[in-house]
Amino acid sequence: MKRNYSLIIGLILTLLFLLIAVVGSTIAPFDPTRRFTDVINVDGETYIPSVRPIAPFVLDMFPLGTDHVGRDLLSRLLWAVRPTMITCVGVVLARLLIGLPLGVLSGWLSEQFWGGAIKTITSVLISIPPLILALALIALSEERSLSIFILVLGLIGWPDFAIFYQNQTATLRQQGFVESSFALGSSHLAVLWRHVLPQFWSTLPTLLAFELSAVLLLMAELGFLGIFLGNGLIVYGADPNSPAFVAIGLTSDIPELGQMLSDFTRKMFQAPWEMVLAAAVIFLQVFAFNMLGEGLRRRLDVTR
Amino acid sequence: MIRLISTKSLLILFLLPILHAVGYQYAINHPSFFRPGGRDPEAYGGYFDYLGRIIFQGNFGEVGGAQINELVSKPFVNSLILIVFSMAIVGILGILIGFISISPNTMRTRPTAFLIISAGASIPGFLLGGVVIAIIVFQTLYGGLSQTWLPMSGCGEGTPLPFSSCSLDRHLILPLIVLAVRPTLHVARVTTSLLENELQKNYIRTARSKGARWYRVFRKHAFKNIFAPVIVLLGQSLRYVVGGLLIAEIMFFWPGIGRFFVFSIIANENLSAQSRFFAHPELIATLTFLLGFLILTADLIAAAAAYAADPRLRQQN
Repeated sequence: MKRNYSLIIGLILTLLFLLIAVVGSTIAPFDPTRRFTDVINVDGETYIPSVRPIAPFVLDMFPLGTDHVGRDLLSRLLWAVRPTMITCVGVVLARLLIGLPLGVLSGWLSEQFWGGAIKTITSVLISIPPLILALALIALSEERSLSIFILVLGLIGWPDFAIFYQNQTATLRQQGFVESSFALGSSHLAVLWRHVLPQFWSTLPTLLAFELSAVLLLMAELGFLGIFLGNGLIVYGADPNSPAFVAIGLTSDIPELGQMLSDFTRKMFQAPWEMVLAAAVIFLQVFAFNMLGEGLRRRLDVTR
Repeated sequence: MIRLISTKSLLILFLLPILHAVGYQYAINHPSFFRPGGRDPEAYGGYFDYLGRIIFQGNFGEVGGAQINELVSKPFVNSLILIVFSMAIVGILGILIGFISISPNTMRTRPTAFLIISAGASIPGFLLGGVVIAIIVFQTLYGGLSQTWLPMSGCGEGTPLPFSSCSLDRHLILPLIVLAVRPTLHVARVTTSLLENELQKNYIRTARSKGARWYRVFRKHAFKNIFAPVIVLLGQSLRYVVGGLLIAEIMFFWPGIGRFFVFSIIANENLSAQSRFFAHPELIATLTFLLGFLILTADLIAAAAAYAADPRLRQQN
């Protein structure tokens, strides 16, 4: 049998990120919220490392430099994986819990009124861009907590699951074994529980992995537009180019991957490496989930 | 066919007023209204007052002294330019890449192509755009060039296209990268897996064993069978393009409606010039209406095209 490289790569990367999520906070060298404003001294004035006029990577203290308000980037990256992972997993589970029952119900009752109604609603909801809906709903609340993110992102993405299970259930309903089971006197619930639902377990891991990557990308896009976990925090400081105290960054009090992509216009000039490194971490994580999903699809595919 | 189109059109006619009302009510209930020094909800009245003003006076409301219909009409066409071009790229390149990544010998996906597609579909377009911007900025700063080699903001300055304020030139390149890369590779990935499944079937083996060329088998047999799902997929990938519109227009200062949308929904303390757009009920209602019109029309076109392309869909109704 041919070796399934995508599954191997995906599993290794996913386990790596799980490990970082669990132990990352203990191996981080610094407190991720501590701002180092006094380590650089140029002509008697102290600067935040990233806003000083020399290259970022020369300090021995910070292997990856600091972010644009002067916090150690390596510690922040190590801390940031956990909240992002928890949000993604929570969102995917919420979507599954809404989408699977609705999809199975509407697929099973597709001839009746309620099935048709759910079907129409899902087919309308699926064409709404998730980014726009998420933006609008999260902006309604002033608070940016984990529960709000899970609630909103879980509420908007379930039509994908629902449509998939709708089609599957509608196909299964036509099969012979369902008819035979009815003929033997089983009730609808018994047929669903014993014969239809077990058919879904083999495709479920694939679907979950792809959904995880989609949610992570959505969170990255939201972060870019300025919506991230944690309360907004405007940091003021001295800029080497102007003597006055100016706002040097809009960030969050919790380290989070989406937040590291926010405030793009300032970071482009003050700390472009922060964008690049956070982007690399997000890319690797999305890639891990995609590879895992594709590998699982090939592993569980019976036609091979 | 007529039945499908008329049902879908009726649905659109039913949904668009609802979207308009939802947008208005959303803005009225926005937390900014309840802040000290925020907007006064009484100044706008209920939704039906606004509807009455539109119907009887043709007055869509105003933002910062400009009528909303005049403010929004040109940006809408500007955004439409981006959407049309990126959908063209997604459709043509996506299907082409999906076709190339199937190996004619094994009838399976080429492993390298699969790896490239998976990796590419994992890069969000805006990160790619950010990296390109960083390269351009640093090249201009430290490379001693007098101007950037790709324009990074605004849209074409030549004679504008009808009803818009943009002309087609190199300004399009960077926004299109941000918009099109991920949907293209997504379409490519799904096309490949659909083709792969289709090519395992018996009629393909028959055609191959009769000596038909690979290209002929693909064009005459396999492609026709996957065409309808691919069209539906293209219709669905439009929602990612429309979502990406917000990011691309913010990133490259493209004068479209996506920027209005972000300004009207997200409070940004630094953009004081745009704060008059923030939580403006009439503006948000108009924008939701326009975006909904765009998405639902595209959905209708995709459904009709899929219906026309695949005779099997006609059997079911």
